[in-house]
Amino acid sequence: MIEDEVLGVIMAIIVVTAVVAVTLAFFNPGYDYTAIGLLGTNGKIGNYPSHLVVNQSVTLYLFIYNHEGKPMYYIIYEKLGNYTTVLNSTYPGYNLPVLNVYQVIVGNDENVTLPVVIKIPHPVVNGKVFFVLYYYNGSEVYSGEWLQLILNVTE
Amino acid sequence: MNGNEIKLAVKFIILALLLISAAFSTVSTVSFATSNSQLITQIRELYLQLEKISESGVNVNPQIQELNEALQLLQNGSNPNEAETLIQRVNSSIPQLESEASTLYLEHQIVKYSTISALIVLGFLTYYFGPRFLWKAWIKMRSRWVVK
Repeated sequence: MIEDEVLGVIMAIIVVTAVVAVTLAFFNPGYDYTAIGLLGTNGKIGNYPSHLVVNQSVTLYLFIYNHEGKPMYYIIYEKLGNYTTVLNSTYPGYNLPVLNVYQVIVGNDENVTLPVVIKIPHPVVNGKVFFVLYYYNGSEVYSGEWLQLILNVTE
Repeated sequence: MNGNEIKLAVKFIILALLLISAAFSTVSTVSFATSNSQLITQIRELYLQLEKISESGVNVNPQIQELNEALQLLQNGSNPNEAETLIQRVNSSIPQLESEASTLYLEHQIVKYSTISALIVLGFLTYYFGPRFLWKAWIKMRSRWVVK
């Protein structure tokens, strides 16, 4: 025989679980995000160049995973800064020279690995190559995410 | 016409041909660049439409992949004609997707509001009949009890 108090607790648990399940099913409060990562010359983490010759091309790979709950149109600006240049989630380095622009559309819950080329036409000491992620929603919006690679470029 | 005049005429013709070919190549490069930027604009417009359609739950990933393929072809400058074909294919699939989206949206709305209504009705039913049911069950469970 089940005691009244136990029965009450069981019923309360059932009701709360049902309410939570319905809420999650219809008003999904999921966390939306985009993950980006810079991969080396072999398409894996590691093997990043730290020294280049002027006008030498090196191909790296940019991994982008879309978990925004919708397809996303990404625009990646490859910019060149110096050692003191610091980007943050609100400052994408407006005045930095743009080396390349890449555009890619990624479906929801899908990922792409995009080849990106670094080619610098002049010598640089402790330069920073930035990959700044924007998305397009009718206009280009800075996502607040960026990657950087420090390297030297010599004659 | 003497020999010098003939040489001069030949030089003039060669110069004219060079100028015409240079002008033609410049015009074709400019029109290629313009055409590329127009196609990218088209891709962006189609993307916005697909994004809106996807909000209703329709799977637009195949169309998104085709658009991305077209975008990569245009960025590489490898095959703008194929890119244009892909863009046209996506464009022609939009009406069908929009129709699916409106149906799906309607279904989602019906299920959502039916569930909310059912929960409200269930709440009232529990409020009115719950205690009665609970005490009937309580009495039934203890019906064989004997007071000593």
